[in-house]
Amino acid sequence: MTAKSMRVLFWSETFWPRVGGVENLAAKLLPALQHRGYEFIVVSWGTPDLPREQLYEGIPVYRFPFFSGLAAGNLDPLMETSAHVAKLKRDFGPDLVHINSYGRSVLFHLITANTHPAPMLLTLHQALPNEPVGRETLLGKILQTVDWVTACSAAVLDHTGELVRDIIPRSSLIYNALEVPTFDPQPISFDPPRLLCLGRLVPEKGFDLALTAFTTILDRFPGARLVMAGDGPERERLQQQMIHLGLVNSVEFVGRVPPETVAHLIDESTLVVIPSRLEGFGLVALEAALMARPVVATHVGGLPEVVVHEQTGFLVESENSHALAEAIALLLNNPATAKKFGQAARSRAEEVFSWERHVSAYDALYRRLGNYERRVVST
Amino acid sequence: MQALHYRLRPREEVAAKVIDGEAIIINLANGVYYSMDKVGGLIWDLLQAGNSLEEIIVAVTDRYDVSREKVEADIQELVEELLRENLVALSEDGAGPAETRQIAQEGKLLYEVPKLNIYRDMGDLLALDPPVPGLGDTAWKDPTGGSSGEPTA
Repeated sequence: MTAKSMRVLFWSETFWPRVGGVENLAAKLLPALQHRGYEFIVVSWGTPDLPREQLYEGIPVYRFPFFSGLAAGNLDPLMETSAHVAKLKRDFGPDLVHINSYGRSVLFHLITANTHPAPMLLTLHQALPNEPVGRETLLGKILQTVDWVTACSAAVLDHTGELVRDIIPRSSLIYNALEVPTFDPQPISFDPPRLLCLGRLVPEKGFDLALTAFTTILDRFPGARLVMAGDGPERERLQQQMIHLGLVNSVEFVGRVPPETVAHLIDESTLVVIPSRLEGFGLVALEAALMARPVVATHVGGLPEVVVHEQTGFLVESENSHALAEAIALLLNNPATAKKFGQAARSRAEEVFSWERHVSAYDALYRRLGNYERRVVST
Repeated sequence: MQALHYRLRPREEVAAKVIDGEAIIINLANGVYYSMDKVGGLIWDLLQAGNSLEEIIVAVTDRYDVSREKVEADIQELVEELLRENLVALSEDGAGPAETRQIAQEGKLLYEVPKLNIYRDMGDLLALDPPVPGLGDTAWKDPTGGSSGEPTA
């Protein structure tokens, strides 16, 4: 099947205008593939603040309330949503359904799968929970049912294969990627040192560890600054921690940052700190690399595939704010090393995480899956 | 094996609906989600309408190209599963269906063994909070974190 004739239903529980690694990637990938001839619609989880239908770069986005509106004993909203999804599938007639990250809304895809059978692709951006995947679970059923699984890192791919062995022959790695920024990074400034933490303010990002580590950094580098960019449910707790640690004059919470300004924010930084407890890939590490900034990150998930220890940054033990502080201090005390790491990170990122290669990989996979049998699935 | 004159009724904590032959069933007490389509959807539809096991067997045999023996065996197995999952209760007595539906069709359909699809990881989205008893006006949890929906009338 050629790109020019393929219709793809992109099922992404969160999507533009939501901001985040998964959302930002999808927002770039779809227009790039559209440019290669694919026709898309997006199905996403609706919330009251977003319109039910909207266009993104000419791509129709349909948002459904999914599990909202249910009341005791009344399944009408659920059935109504299923009917709407089924109609959308009948009207659009997808040649492929691409599920972008597992989420419970895929139940509605499964229960309407036979309305218009099409091959299914699932992309995993996070590692699955480290427990057996039951066959009588939505996750188990979607993994049994999809024709192909891609993972954003070898860590996620390998972990998924360990949990669900029959995925192995129908899965592959497609690294996340980003376009090279349109401007050259400025030389790294160390005076004063500016550390950056960027991401959703949720416990898995480990920003509490960065705050603790920063107290040590501030002792050694009194003029240092830490910027916390992002928002989330942990914001208040982190701000309380900042106050408790006496960091009010040295730490700044700047809130959510529009994707198009991230490169500039990194450009203003000396280095980027990624103290994650869980990380499927570590898109922020790639963003830092493309701006030639060294990274100090935890050795978790996909981060060791993006950050090469002692070549493009340092990897430290998870949950260890002391190790985090020592690694940061080592870079701040050795600007030449930090700059060398940054340059190496950029060169490697351009080669290993090439945007063109990423888009081409999905292009080739879409065309291959488009020739798969359209089978009725047992859901 | 259940006697064929028995009827099954969905338990109080079960919400179910059949549309276009697909049965969606939720155990509100624990949020387990079930679905059945084709033969299974028909069986659930007849069951919740008050038909006895015998009446259900006859209806399925009339509609699908299958022997009575096969249908009876499959339905008995399905009934055991529905009972194990606490979706239904057995009743010896009770009135029959409010109306006898005539299933108009030309020719019999291809039979498939009825299958109860089970999803046990939906509890946090589908279980009532607090759980049964007292279904009343309890609203579902909103997956976005707020309170969703309006109580049923």
